[in-house]
Amino acid sequence: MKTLLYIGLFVLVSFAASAQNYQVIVNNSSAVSSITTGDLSKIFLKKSTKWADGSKITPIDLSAKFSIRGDFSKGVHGKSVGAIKSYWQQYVFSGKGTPIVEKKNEAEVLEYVKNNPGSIAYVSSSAAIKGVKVVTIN
Amino acid sequence: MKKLSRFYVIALFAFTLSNVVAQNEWEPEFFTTGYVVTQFEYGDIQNFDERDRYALGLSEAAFSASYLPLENLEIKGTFLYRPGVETVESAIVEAYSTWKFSEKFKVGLGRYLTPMSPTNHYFYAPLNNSSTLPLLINHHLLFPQSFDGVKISGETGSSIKFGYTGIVGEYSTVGHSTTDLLEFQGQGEFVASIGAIESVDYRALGMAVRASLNVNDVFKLGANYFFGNSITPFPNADDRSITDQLDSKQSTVGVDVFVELGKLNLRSEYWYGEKHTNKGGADDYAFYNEGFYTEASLNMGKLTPFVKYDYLDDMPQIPINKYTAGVSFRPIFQTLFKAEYGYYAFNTSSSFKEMLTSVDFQDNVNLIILSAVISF
Repeated sequence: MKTLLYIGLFVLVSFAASAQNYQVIVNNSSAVSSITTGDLSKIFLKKSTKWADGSKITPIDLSAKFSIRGDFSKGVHGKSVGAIKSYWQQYVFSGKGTPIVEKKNEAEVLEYVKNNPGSIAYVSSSAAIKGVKVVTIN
Repeated sequence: MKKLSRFYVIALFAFTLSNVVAQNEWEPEFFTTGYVVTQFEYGDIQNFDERDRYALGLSEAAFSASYLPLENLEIKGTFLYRPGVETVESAIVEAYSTWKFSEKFKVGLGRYLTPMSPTNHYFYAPLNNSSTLPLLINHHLLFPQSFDGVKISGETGSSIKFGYTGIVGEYSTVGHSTTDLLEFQGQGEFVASIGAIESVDYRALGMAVRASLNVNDVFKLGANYFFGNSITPFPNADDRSITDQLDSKQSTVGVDVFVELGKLNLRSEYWYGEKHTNKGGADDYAFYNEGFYTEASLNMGKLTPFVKYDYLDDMPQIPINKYTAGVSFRPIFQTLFKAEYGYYAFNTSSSFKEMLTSVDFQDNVNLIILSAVISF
């Protein structure tokens, strides 16, 4: 019995440790309520540029100095921030365009998403979400 | 000065437009990136002194800046230095403004890397697993490195995409002859193997088009065509010490394919070109050029081993076969290390070799290259 209890506690702690510490947000006018990590990855690599209704998607990155940028990169792209930076360097030099916009801090991210329909971003789980909508990640 | 004034006109056009067109909530964006490459090279090139067979130093440096004053307008410039680049004008490999009407239709003005072949995407060190450019790129007799002119492009589709690119304008057939510290690779492979020959740099009018198919980024197919009015340098029939500049027409076709099989990437290109002088009659000359490139690389995360094969026949009777094996290692974004061994084989016919008995002709060259690419 005790063994089962310890195993159960271990599983719970492991789950808590691996739970993501970021949340994905969109403008309040967005019809999106859930999204897969695959679709999120395509959006944040500019491989998908339109929502289902045909409107433009504007993804917003957070400065690399914030640890959740790394968590988002690993969790969504399965790659490090450095690997994604390499992707954008190739993107630029091969003439495809420019990387997605990067904001300096979470306050700027929240302000941008609140004021720009079609935008999507991520902030920490503890960030105060006001004026934007949180999207469930499948 | 004349060339620089073109860029001022382009910049003025872009900034004037940005003041005329009302902005919405778009915030102008500015992005820069660049890199520096330090390289060690060794080649057993027989007509080099022993000391000259080694080289260590700066082999490449580039800086690129993109500015988006409006959501649909991009202004971009890229400067690149390599040992064969001797003027500021040659260092400006890209300088253009592009207006995006939609993903299906974009119009641009300025200087572009010739947008036909994906191997132009190997042009910059961070994009290339290898320390050396494909022969198709650092030799310029099949298609030029850059175009100055008007470009249209677009893409349609989602998981299956069809794309097109067209450019018309002025081009330079040779921007530089060699591309490395030993001054061997590039148009200069022939130089090192047989003796000094001056490179020719001249401008001509031409056009290039490309059609492409992209299936989920795992299969890509491209078809390319280049045409231009150019000049062919040729020894004067009466006085071989004089080089005539013969008016010519040049055309090249190419196909390229890319396949991603799990972590294995395979890419190949084949190009065929012809150049004919157009004086008319018996005095005309015709040149036939052919090139092939293939590379297999294994994406192991930070480590990428690769093998590649180049074939180029753009100097009559001296086709080149080049075999390369190497590895690139990128532990973090800012650093990329490369190591490779390359074997050049110059497959001349025995009769042609007999003609070269007066000079030391080297059938093959071994090259070892180590590079460090620092990005920002």
